[in-house]
Amino acid sequence: MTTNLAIIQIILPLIGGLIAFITPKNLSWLFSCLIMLFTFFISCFIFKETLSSEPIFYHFGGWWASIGIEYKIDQLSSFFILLTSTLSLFNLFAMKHLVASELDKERYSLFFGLYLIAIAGLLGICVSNDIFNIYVLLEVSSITSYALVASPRTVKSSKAGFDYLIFGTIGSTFILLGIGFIYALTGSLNLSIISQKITPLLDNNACIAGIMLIIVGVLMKAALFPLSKWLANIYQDSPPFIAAMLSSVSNKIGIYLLIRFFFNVFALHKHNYAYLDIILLLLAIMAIFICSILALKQTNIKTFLAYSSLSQIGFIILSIAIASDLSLSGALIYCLSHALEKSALFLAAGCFILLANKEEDLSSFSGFIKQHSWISLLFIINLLSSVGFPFTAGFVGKWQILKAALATDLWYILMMLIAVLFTFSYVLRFIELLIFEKEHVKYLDQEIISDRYGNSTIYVVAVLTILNLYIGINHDLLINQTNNIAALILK
Amino acid sequence: MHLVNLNYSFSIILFFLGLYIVLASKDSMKKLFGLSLFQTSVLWFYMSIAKVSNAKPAIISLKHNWFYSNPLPHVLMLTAIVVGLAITALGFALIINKEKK
Repeated sequence: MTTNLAIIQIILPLIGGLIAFITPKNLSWLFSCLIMLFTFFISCFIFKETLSSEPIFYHFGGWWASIGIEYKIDQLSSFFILLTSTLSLFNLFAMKHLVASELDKERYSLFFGLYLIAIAGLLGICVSNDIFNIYVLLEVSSITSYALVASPRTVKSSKAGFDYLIFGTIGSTFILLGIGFIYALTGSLNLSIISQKITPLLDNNACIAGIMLIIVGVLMKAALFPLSKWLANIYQDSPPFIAAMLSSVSNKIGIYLLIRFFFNVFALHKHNYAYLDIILLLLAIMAIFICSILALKQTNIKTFLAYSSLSQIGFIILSIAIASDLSLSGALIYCLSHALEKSALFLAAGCFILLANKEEDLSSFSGFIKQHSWISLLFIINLLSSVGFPFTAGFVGKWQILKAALATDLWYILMMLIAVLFTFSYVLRFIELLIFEKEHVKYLDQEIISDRYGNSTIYVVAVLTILNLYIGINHDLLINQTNNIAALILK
Repeated sequence: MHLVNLNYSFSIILFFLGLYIVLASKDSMKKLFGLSLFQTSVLWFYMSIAKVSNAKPAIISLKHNWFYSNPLPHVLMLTAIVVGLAITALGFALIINKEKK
């Protein structure tokens, strides 16, 4: 039963997405919610199963691992499965009314179908133990996200979709070529077998080339700064709920792949490999500083959030590069808190834009809190969480990384503290704008918006914020769990 | 130089040529062509991996017992070709939407 759940978890949204294409447009949202709800329950069950016992294996067609495709769910996978399915479920709830502001009613069934297939691809990446299968599922989720970005069919969004297609495909082709090198060397596509066979080959030039190609491709998917400067423009021109999905879920899968390849498959942390950890460290620090400065300069609310998201990704990569038990567990907690807060922020920004009559300029939100206090308050809490304010989930992650930095080197701590100060500067600027500046625009009333688009987005933002605060206050269980996962990976 | 090495070099040249076309050209159509070239170079690379010297194609015959080339990379590339096709098709659709006045 549990073995089959591993595959049902992927098949359900995949088939559901195909069926959603042909459901009537009024029912398509409800149908996809049902499918996502089932997927969510299955992932909860899988999480509970893997929490205590051995990994779950599933072999396609009964072929053994060296020949067939194998799915394997260990604790790391189940953590990311739960994260992905939870956030995509909330995102789907929030879309109910927000979708109407961007799309024709005729395209609803297409849109929700694509969304489900994208989620199926992302969930599949987490469980697959076959490197080529991971590539295929990566392409499934990427191609559908290109279409989702372009879904409003305006000139701007199509341009964003096209840019995303170009850069996303470059990233995944790098991964494909890298897989070719690894396959030529080890003769296997199964991750467990590769990890056994690759250790004596690590000094081989072809092996270095293959590993570097894969790491670069994965970093492009994870949106580390110099490889993802284009991403900010894509977030700006795509609908806010899609930006929420990309920054909360898709990026996390990139991080998952980085952790999986870096620690588990190639075990690069044991070998001080080709200065990779130092390169990652430098890139991460660059990402944090440059993206913070760029965020300070932005005038558009969505690019502001995008650059803040990119600088947070820098923190996650930084803690992966430190490569200790504590830092890895910090990276996992940070993934969770970043996904929660960025999802909430982008969805709230969608509401902001609607309330300000589709104005996206930051200056048009001055004094916003006086007219719309609730949504602004939720927004501010999430912004504070991204800085790492105490009693939020962001604090737990940052604290864990800081503890890891304390154990290694004084340099890191100095870097971390300056970096936190930088993030604080751009967040403070926006909070000041929201609260203290004079309002010079008359915003639409909440009633008009809720008549036209409903309230579901605000409820979802509220739930995400409450989850965030809950983790911030009651974090012992989470830290225990992530410590376990980190110890298992680094073993 | 061995023939197989020539194959690898050619695929790497194609790889960088494609990447250059994607990054350097302003025109969306040319970008998409470059992207196709870029992906095709990887297909070429996999085909070169699969080749076993002095071997026949991987068609198993009961009469003869001969060496055959590795069929797995060919199968993998079938999937990659489909992915490439999907990306090119989506790219064309996006270009049509994007250039619409």
